[in-house]
Amino acid sequence: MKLIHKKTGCVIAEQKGDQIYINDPFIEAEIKLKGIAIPSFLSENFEGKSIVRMGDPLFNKAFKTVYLQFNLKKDAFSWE
Amino acid sequence: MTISSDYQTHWDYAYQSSEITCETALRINTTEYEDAHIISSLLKITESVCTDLNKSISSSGSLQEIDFFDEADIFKLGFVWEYIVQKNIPLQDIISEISNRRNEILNQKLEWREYLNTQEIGPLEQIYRENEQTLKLIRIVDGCGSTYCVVNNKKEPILIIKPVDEDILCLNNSKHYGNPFNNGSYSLKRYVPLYTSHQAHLLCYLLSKELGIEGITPKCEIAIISSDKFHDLSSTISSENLQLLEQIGSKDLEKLCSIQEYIPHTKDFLTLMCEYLKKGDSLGILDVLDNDNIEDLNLLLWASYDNDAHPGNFLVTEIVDPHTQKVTIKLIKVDNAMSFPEHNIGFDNFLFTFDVKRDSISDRLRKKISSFKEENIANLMKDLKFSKSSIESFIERISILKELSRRESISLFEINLRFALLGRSNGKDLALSDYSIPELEAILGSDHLLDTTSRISL
Repeated sequence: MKLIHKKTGCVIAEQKGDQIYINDPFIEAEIKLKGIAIPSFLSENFEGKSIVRMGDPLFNKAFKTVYLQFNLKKDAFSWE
Repeated sequence: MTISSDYQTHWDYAYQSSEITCETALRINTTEYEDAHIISSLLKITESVCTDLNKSISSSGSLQEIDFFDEADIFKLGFVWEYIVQKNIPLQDIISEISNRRNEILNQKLEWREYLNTQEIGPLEQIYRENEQTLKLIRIVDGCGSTYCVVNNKKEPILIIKPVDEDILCLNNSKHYGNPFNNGSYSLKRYVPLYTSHQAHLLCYLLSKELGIEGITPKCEIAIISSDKFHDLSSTISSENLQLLEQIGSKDLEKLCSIQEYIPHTKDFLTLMCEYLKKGDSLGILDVLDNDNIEDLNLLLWASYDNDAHPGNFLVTEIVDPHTQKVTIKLIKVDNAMSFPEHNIGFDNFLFTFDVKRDSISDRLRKKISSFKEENIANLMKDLKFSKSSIESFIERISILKELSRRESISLFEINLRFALLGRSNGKDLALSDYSIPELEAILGSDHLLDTTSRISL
């Protein structure tokens, strides 16, 4: 499954099996360094965590429901 | 220098892709706001409706909303409804919370009306004067908080309006993030209080002026505006639940808002990044960024300790040198709602990763930092009703920034790294420590000493 930026057609991330691969080097670097910050109102959905890092079993969920929604403007993308 | 003519504005994009609804009747309150007699005479509002846009929305946007909400979610709260269900919160408690929020929203408006009565004409006066004509109010569907755009009769956007009580996780949000509660547990950023976006928007603009970098974020004012098309939670209540209206109190469509200038001829930074990625040259973007502009943006973000500077919150202007055809990109920071937190926690600066060379910061930037009079902003923060802890946090981080900027080889990346670590329980020590960059990266990349709730309990 590919995460496509609708306006440009750019594939910004891909899910292969259980793994999400981020194609943009700046976004990848940011997430590698800082993880994904979980908004406080959603932390219960992430076992009370305030940050979910790469490698965490909750990472895919955090990327799809938090990073995509609040950092990447979800409406600008589609999973295909 | 000229602005590239083939640039499509956000507005063009929104218009063509039908991501907007068209509404009418913007009216600035004329009796309470000192300058309103000027503003209201300039913003003449039409009763007409742009039917084409209405048609496009009725066939797309509204369907999505119908599919989304749980039938039991009588207030159409969306995400927060899930938590109400999980915690089994009784309806009467929710009604009580809604009633409390309505009172708070009203009192907040009255409080700010007093402040507005003491203010002189703001920086947007020129825009009002240049648009002495019929205007329309457009609701922008994109984003998580309610945003309205004022357009002139040429359909050109001129102003952006954000009602405070329609922000994400505020009571009257219409985009699936309505929230009857007001505490840290139900916020987007734990240390940025709800119902304060107008203060942050205005202060960031004033900060940019104080730093000598005006233009890096939109001009902004605070105003009380009424429109019969603003959203109110009560409008979502179905006919079989009308008895609830009495219990939650009457609606108020006269709202405390921020008003910002619309920046034309831009696109968002994320789109630009995708364009470079698509052509297989992601790092090529670094060659067109303007170094001074990037330094100035970082300065703004350090001083405001923005908790939400993601790529979608930067606009891009492209400047083409007519002689050399060399393209330069300048960024503008928009949506400063999550700035000036109560504590120096949650710093989020996407530009962090763009300093790949990690050269020492310029003397120009060092001079700006050393000559910055933080007491002027601290005084403004008092006037704008920021909390004591927010002001103290601001003073603390500027003191740290000044100290860091005196270090000979410090880079933008390193300052960002140290500022991000301020959120840890021994944050100030870490920020000013002698740790190397790899050591700081290792700390930031680990959960060691990660502070979430222990340091401050709201």
